[in-house]
Amino acid sequence: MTALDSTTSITLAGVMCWDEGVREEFGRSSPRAVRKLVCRWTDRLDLVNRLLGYATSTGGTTTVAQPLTYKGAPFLVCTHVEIEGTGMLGADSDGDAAYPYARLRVIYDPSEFNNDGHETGNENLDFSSEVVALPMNGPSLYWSNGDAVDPRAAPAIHFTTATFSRTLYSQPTLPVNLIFTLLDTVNQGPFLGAAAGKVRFLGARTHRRFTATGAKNWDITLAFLYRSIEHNKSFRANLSGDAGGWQDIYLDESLTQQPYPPADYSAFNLA
Amino acid sequence: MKFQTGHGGVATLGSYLIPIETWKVTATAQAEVFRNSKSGGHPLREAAGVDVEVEITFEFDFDANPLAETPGLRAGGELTNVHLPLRSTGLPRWEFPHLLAERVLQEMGTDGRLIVKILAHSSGVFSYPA
Repeated sequence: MTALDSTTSITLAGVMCWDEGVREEFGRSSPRAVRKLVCRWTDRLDLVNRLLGYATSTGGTTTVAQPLTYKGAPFLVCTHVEIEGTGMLGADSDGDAAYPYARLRVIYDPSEFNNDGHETGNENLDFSSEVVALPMNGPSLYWSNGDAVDPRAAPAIHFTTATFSRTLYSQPTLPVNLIFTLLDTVNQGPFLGAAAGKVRFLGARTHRRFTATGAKNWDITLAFLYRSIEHNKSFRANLSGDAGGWQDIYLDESLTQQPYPPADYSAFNLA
Repeated sequence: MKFQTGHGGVATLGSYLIPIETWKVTATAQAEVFRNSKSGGHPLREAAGVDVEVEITFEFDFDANPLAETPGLRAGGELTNVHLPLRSTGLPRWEFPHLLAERVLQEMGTDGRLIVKILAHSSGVFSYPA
């Protein structure tokens, strides 16, 4: 006797399963929903893969299957699935444990993904401070009466920097070349609301993960440093014939190479 | 038709014939219960395993002490090849290749009979009367 058949089933992501109810928790910072599903044991990994989402890359074309959302609160997406075998314990062809059904505990947490077909992931913003020692070869600051501050008595200038990181989830490949190429560059155009030259790419931390069907995906945390003064500017003293202040600096007299070359960040898909 | 159920019933433990008073077999199924969004409030059940409990009541045999090493009907002991025929010693019968004795009860009756009860569960496959 088979208790579960199509008369009581639903279809989720193309997989026949049975809905055994939900439990919801809503707090100020941690809403969560837990859904219980039953599917055939042999369908479980396909279902989990669809629930959690994945990315594949074929011929340079990336296909992203986003994690499924919770119907009652679409801002919750599937982040974790626990599976327990259900029904008469038996064996597969190798003698390993197999069941007629799998009972899934599907956990939905607040979304860290965009709805534009690209997972942009988690974001963090942190702040620090940079101190610039003013040049000693000439006046840089002035008193209110117009007198130059003696460079030996001039205070250092403090200004705030911001470290911004964003985690891209489920990337089909690890873009090592892209990361290496863009290290220690600055944004050549407006980027995440910052003007050109004010954001420097610091690098990326990566974490490999496996989809439910064994394909490799990567979670990649990209880090950037925002500086309210362009990264390629330095403070120049007020010498005769030059007003001084923040000015662009170059590594060569022909003014072609700056310490942090401008680069196009659009390949990060962070917009 | 003449009913004689239980007439001439015996129990054997290997080659040892147990002087039984009664035996009782209770086979149970572990049911997996499903309730889902479309089952309309009615639970759906599917067997997820079977178990069997065997209780044998017999008279103490002073000539072949059943609690002694042989045949050794002791709590925690394994009873092998226990057959519970429904009639005489042939078929049909329950067949238990392995039983684990979990309770042993000895009871002195005022009628002079010394009764022993063994409560056991089957370990592994068993056969229904056939």
